[in-house]
Amino acid sequence: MANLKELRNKIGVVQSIRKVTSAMKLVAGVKLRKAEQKAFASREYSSELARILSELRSKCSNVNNELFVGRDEVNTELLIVFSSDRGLCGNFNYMINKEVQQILSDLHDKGKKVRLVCVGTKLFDIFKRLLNEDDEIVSFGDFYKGDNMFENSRKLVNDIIKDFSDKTVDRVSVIYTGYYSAMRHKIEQRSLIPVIEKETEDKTETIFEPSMDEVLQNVVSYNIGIQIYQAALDSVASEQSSRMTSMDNATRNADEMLSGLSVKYNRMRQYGITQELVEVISGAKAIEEG
Amino acid sequence: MKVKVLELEKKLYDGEALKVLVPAVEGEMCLLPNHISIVTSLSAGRICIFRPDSDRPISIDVSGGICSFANNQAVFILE
Repeated sequence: MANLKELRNKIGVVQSIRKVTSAMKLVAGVKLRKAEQKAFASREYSSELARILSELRSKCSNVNNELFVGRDEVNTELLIVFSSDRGLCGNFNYMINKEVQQILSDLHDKGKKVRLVCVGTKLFDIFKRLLNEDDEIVSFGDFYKGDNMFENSRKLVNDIIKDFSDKTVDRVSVIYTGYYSAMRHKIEQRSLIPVIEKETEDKTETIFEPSMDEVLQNVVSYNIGIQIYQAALDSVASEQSSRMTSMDNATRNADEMLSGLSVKYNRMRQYGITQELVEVISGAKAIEEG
Repeated sequence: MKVKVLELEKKLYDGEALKVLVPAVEGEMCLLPNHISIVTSLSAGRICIFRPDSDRPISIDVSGGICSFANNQAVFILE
């Protein structure tokens, strides 16, 4: 019964896949809890900082700090994109890829050059193919490794500020998957340079100490680091949650497949037994009659 | 007035206050209700928050950051 053996092998394979996916689901669940805690803990800090800055932006009209108000003429746009280092996380990378494709084609239509910093190695090759000849792509590998995300964000800020003051780039934004709950993530694009205005009723004058330029320079560059860090935290949490959901689905599919296969296996085995019985009985009958 | 003191992963204070002493870079200053809008860098020092419901002020040691006061709300972003 070669067919029976094949089925048995297949059941074995599905069982071991199921073991892997359910283990991955558990691991992702634990990592998600940690990542979620971290992402939520610093959420208020980063959003307050961003709020203060954008309110200042709409209140202060006489500022000429380029980091704050940006440049009038934008030739090159810097995009910092957060993908993941690993696969098997459902449509996480696909969604980012889709969004970035859209943004890139918009920018190319407007004739802008793009410099792309790809955090996470998974989408690097795909992005490379999407870019024009005079665009640039840099990979930031190992961003998520260990507990170095904050330091890595700082490193990235130094590069960004340098590029901006060298006029290699004129506008900077970050694209990441915002994490709201285990079921709700959303791709977001946030502008780091310039700071985006936000409506506020308060139009009173603001005093800066020690001086407007100094304060803004410090706060804006600090804000860039914090926003990048927050984007990374959100991205990690979304990745884990996406992985958990997709591994849960995979486990359920494997269960379904297993039950179908075992029904088929039992039916086939029973068929074999019946066949043998029929042979034995008809043989016995033949002897009796003879 | 409202005061919020935020650290990267922790909220240190969020509530009402009568006045706040702030270690600003150009010397210590006191924020009272209806102060003019101000944004200042912080130097190393101590923030003292005087609460309406208690005689003892809360003090928080800081090494740096910024303080923003607008609309009767003070927000401290500590580094």
